[in-house]
Amino acid sequence: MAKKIMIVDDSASIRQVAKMTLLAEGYEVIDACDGLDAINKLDEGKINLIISDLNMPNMDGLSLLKKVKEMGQYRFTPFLMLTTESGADFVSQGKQAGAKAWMIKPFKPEKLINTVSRILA
Amino acid sequence: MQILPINELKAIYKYYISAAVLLSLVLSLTLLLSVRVDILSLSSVLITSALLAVTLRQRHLTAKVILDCEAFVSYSNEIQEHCEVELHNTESIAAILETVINQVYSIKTLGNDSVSGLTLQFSELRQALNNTIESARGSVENFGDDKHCFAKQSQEELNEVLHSLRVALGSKLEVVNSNQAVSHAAKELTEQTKSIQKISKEITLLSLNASIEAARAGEAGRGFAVVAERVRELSDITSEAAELIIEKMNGLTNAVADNTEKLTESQAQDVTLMDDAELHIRKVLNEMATVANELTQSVHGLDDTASKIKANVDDAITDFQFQDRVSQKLEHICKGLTSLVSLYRTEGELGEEGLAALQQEMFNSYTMKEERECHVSTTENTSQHDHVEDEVTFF
Repeated sequence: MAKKIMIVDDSASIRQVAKMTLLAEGYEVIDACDGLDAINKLDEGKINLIISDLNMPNMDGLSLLKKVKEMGQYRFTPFLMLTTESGADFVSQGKQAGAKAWMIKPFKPEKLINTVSRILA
Repeated sequence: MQILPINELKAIYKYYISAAVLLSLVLSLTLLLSVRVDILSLSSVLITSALLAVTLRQRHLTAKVILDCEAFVSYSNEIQEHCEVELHNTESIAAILETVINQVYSIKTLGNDSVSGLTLQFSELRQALNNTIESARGSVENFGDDKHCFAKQSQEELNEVLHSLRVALGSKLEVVNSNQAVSHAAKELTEQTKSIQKISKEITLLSLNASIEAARAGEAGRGFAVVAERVRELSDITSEAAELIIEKMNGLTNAVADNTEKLTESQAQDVTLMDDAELHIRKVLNEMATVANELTQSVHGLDDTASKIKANVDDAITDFQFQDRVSQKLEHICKGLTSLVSLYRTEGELGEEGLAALQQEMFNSYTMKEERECHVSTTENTSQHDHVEDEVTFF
């Protein structure tokens, strides 16, 4: 059974690139345009990995990460932060909040595939 | 134009007061002393002089005040005009900034939509290339694998067909040889039969001689004459049988010879055909092998080309993501400009404190390293900072 990945980003182009890249690798992909949208869509079924942007309207990535970690069902679901933010403070906050990895945008499709494979291995 | 100093205005008013006091004093003295006409005349002169002086001074001062007032009004107008210009410029700048913000948002939206469409198309192109590469690699494996090589398999099968044909041709040759052996045996039999026929003729001749000798012997040779007659009859039968055998054997020999000749001709034609067929088949097989080899190389080339295109598409997709960074930067610029417009409108002017706060607000809104670097070192070439931190940090 294909593993399901959620992509959360307010940029439609980033969502498209990530979605097409992961679909081609056989993953099932759902997407959300911000943290709030992601929270609403988490009820649709089991998610194996959440890939989220940091800076988004309504609910940012760090808030989403903290919220997800409070949810019993997704407490141990790996969380990949995919963002343009490279500040050490933010990376540290992501680590403390429980993110599995921090990836800087823009990304090469192969790089995303390798990162996702490593996290889901 | 000079503005009327406050001290001079005070002096003018002091002069008015002094003149009034002097006039009052003179009038009071005149009334109190009730002096004579001379004094009155003198007083009148003094009063007149004083009034004249006052009048002159008043006129002079009035003219100056008027001039100064005109100057003040003119200056005030100038200040007012200046203030109006300042206010007008502030509003214009704010309006222009708002236009700029709207334009930037419009560009941002347009860019996002366009790049989003391009990204989708390139992502689909990438998927199509992936499928092409997979298909090409599958074809290469089928052609490239020795065990399943189409050309080699065809060559082996055709070689088997050729071998079967050669075996069949060999069997035909054996039949020809057998026929020749039969023909040879038939000729021998014919010769032997002819010998029998010759012997039979000699026996007939002997039996005739015996009959003659039996007749000459008379009664004593009568029995021998019967035997001789019987021998002659048997010899005739043998001779006739031999003649029949020779005739049949000749027919058989001719038929075998005819058959052998036809088989030999056919075999020669078969050999020629086989040689030609083998030559053509080997030629076709070689051509097929060449074509298969070229096809394999072409597929390899297509695979390489598709892989390179895929790499380029990947790079393009990566580059398209810069729109996200550009979009965020434009968003930050718009927010900064919006704050600047707000500052213009609320404060009317840009003090150092307000500007510093605005700069800090802008700095805090940045999400990218190059934005912060660009902000703190505006004198450097910003392109130096447009690098990508292509990295992943695992926790």
